[in-house]
Formats: sequence, C-alpha cells, structure tokens
Amino acid sequence: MPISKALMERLEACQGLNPIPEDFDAFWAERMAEADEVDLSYEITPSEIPSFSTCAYYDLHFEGMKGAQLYAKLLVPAGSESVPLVLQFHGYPGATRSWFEQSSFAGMGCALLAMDNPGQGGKSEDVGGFLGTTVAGHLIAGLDGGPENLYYVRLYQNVRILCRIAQELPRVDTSRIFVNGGSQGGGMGIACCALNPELINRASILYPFLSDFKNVYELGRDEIAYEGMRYYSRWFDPDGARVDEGFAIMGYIDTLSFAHMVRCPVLFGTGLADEVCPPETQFAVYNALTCPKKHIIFPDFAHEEIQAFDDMILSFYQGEVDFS
Amino acid sequence: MTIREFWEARAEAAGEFREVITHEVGIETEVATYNLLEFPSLDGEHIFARAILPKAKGDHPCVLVFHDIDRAPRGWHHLTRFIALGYAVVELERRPWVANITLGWEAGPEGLAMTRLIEDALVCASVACTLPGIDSSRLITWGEGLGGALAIDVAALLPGGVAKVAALNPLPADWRHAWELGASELVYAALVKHFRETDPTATNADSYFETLSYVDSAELVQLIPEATQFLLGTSLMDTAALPQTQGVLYDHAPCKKEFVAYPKYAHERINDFENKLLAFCHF
Repeated sequence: MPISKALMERLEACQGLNPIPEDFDAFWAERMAEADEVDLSYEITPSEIPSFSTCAYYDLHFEGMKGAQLYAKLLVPAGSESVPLVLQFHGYPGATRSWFEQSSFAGMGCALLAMDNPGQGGKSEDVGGFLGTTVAGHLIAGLDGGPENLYYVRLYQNVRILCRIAQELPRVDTSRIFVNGGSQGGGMGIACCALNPELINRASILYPFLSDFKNVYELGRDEIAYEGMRYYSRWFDPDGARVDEGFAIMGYIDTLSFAHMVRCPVLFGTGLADEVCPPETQFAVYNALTCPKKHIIFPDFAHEEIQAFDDMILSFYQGEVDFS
Repeated sequence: MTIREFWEARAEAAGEFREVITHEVGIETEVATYNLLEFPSLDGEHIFARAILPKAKGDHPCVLVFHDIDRAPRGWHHLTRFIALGYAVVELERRPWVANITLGWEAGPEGLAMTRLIEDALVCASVACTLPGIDSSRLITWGEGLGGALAIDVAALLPGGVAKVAALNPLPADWRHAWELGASELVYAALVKHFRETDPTATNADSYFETLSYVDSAELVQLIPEATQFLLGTSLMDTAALPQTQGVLYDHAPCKKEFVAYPKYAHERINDFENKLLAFCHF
C-alpha cells in the first residue's frame, strides 16, 4: 500500500471509537485479585524435544481459572546465572508455534514461556461455561453473561497466573521479563503489560488484534479473525438494537482500553496493507499508549510475518531501551 | 562427462582459498556475533551470506541454510534459533537473478543458471568451514523448496560431505517427471516457459532434460555419502514441489534416511516438521 502524507495524517489522528468503560481499571483490579487467589499448581516436565547442552525444552502444565488444565512451552537457555524471560503470545486461532521457532529467543539468551490459549488449537483445556453463543469467534464468547464472563477476561486471568509462575522459575531475572506477540498475541501482549505493570520490562507488539471493536464494525472489517462480531450481529442482534450494549461490554477486553495502563516501553509494528487488523484500529491503540513507544510502519506488508520487525527485537531486548 | 565428473572439479574449486570480507550488521547479543560475509563465487560474482557465530568457546556444529525461490533470506531473528542449540548458522543470500533456473541450457550444464546457484552454495559451505569455531565434521544443510534442493546438492557434492541434510518440499527434482506430471509453479514455471516459447513441439526435449539432469537433485542425491543422515518432509498437497518427484528423490538417496509425509499440507511451513528438524539436529 502506498504511503502518503494524507494517509499518515489520517492514521496518526485515530483515537478509536470503542467506549472505554468508566470502571475499567477497577474492574480489572478485581479480576486480577481473583486470579491471585488461585493457588499455584504446576508441573514442569521434559518435552518431546530432547534438550541440547545449550538449551532445555520443557512442557509446563498448570492449573488456571475454574480448574482448567493449561499448557505452555518453556525454553531455558544454559549459561548465565540469570536470564531474561519472554512471554510469547500466539495469533488467532491456533497454538504456540513450533519448538524450532520458539528457539530464536533462547538463541538470544532468553528463557521463554508460550501458552496455548484454551480452545484454539493447542493443548490447553477450555472448560467453557460462557453464556451466550459459542458458535463462532472467541471474542464474543461470554458476551451475554456480562463482562466478567467473557472468554478474554478469563484468558487474561490465566495470563496473570502464568506471570506468577514465571516469577518462581529458577534463574529468571524478574527485572527483565519481556512480552512478544503478533495479532491476537499483540492484543494479549498489550493487556499483559497493562495488567502486570510491575512485572513487564518491555514489549514488542505487532499488528494487535482485539482492537477498537466498534471501528472494526463500522469499517465493515468484522470478517476473518473478527468474523464472530458479524455472526453475533446477524444472528443475535439483527436490527442493531443492542449494538451499543455489546460494545460497552467488549470495551472491557478491547486492546484500546488497556493502552493507558501500559507502563513499559513498547516497540509497535504495523503493516499498512493489513487486511485482518485494520491499520486504523492499530493506530488508535498506539496513539492511546502513554508509555515510551516507537511505531514502525511497513507500507507494503499485510498481516504476515515481518522479518524486519523480528530483527528489531534482537536489539530491543538488549540493554537499555533507546527510542531516540 | 558424468554428473559426478562435472561436479567434482567445481566442488574442488569451491574449496580453494578466497578472500572473505566481513561486514558488521549492527546486531550483537551476549550469546552470538552477527555478520554479513562477502566473497567471490566461482564465476567471480560477489555473493553474500549471513553468519551468526556463538561466542562460547569451542568448536560448534554449523547449520547451512538455503532459502526458497519465493522468499527473501530468513531474517536474523529467525536464524538465531540455531544459536539456542549451540550451533553456528550461515545462510546464503541467493545472488540477483531472473528466477529462471534453466536459463543458459543451450550452452550445456556449465551454462545453466542453476549451476551457478549450486556453485554459490558450495562456495558458501566451503567458506563456512573456514570460520572460527566451526566443527566442519558436524555440518548440517537445511532448506525449504529451492533451498531444500540446494541443501541436498551440497550434501552430495561438498568434499568430505556433511553430517546431516534436511529438506522440506525440495524442488527442482526429477525434472522430466515433473514436466510430465504438469508441474508449472515456482522453479517449474521455467519448464512451461521453455516449451511454450522456445520449443513448442518439444523437439529438443531429450537434450534439454539431459542438460538439466546435471542440476537435478534426484540425480545428485545419489552422490550423498552413505553415512550422511537425511530427513525429508513432503506435503502431499504441494502443487509446486510435486510429491511424486520427492518420492523418487527419497528412493534414490543411498544414505541413512527418514521420510515424513503430510497429507493435508501444501508448499508451506509445517510446525510438526520444524519440531522433527529440531530433534534431527541433535548430535
């Protein structure tokens, strides 16, 4: 997509349309308190990949909210007495990518935790119980049960539990815990930073999903990963009578809503030809960030692997952040 | 001249001393150094390779990576995964070209564009062996698509061989068979172009394919030393690297070998194969 001054001016002015609930911060403080009440229960066992002398590969099974049995990959490099740790979040739908791919972070000297999101194709158990339709789209799962019942609320509580486990892992330098994610992983990454501000040191975020739902709806981009919104609208709110009510509830899981709570430095990437997560929604999130931040624009990239962004992570995770 | 004879001289020349210029790329971690290497290939053309070397002392295995025809070289972050294993990694950046690997066939095998690519790969492998801290007895070649074919070709032709070779959906392989099966994508687009624009009645098909046999991985794979370990992954829905051609390639390999088929995958990356590759890299 050609980059033009007019386009950039329009994108840089995006503030987002989805309402941010007035009690957003308090709501999430309660949710995190609930997650903190869960006793930690986890087991670390050797994975299917035989460990190398320089890197060990483990399966991490842990108990999440409502007793769900959850799964994460754990990689730990040998060597240093203490190592940074990367919390890696995956795209939608799917699961953590291969051990091979995750090894890039271990090759940087970082340990890594990568959780499978429940019910999306990985090993984590989805115990369900979401009120309302579950036919299509996790982003609307639980919508009829109020914000406390949303799929992503429970997911972010599970991330909180994972963060607590991360702090107990041997050799992990808790002053250097980083977040990395693209698409759904980017949205999760922003939420993780917002909800665990004392823990996360920096975050690399690529084209975050779950962003500015109302604008996605109005742009007609409620398709592909966002298609659940259109299904919900067509089947359960055909005349749009409850559309404002819906976006008010979804505001509790909108990446846009989390942005103001992020404190750590954020390296943020956007492909202007993104056909899944509209650039307008990404810019709204970026513009709402009040933390140290840097936005990298890739004019001719869509919703795809952007190696140039990945390469920037190599330096971003080293030493002090320099966004000059 | 046999295929072996044709390549022996080139492989020997590829191993001769050549000046390597090291360019800094502005990346460094506590664990490894990152550099871009520049060196002349057999025809004098300067080619480039990405190299990441572990800082830990000792001799390290080295993975030689070759990239596919339809993608740029893998990024530094991607390549860093091999550092996690304690291995060095060197990736050849394919020289600028017109993406027609049968170009120059009229001049015989020495004139083929694909011959240049294999020569580049051999030179790159030879250069990698001279890098500090590399254990040349533990070389691994790896690639997808065209990169997979080059990984096989280097395993077959590098004097001294390589310890392991892994390929996912390699192409080109078994050229004539591929043409007869209707292959027309990626590197095989050159076949269609040839038989539409240059030889519409296929009058010279025999000499054409005879020339191409010198750069056919299904032929070269037969030269892989018996002790080499070979991992081949094949997507059964791959419409570019046709599974039938890969089956022939696998059958021709005289070495220790393992074949993994993926019924519902096409010409794409495969998580499961990546995990198998990781386990395969063990020494």
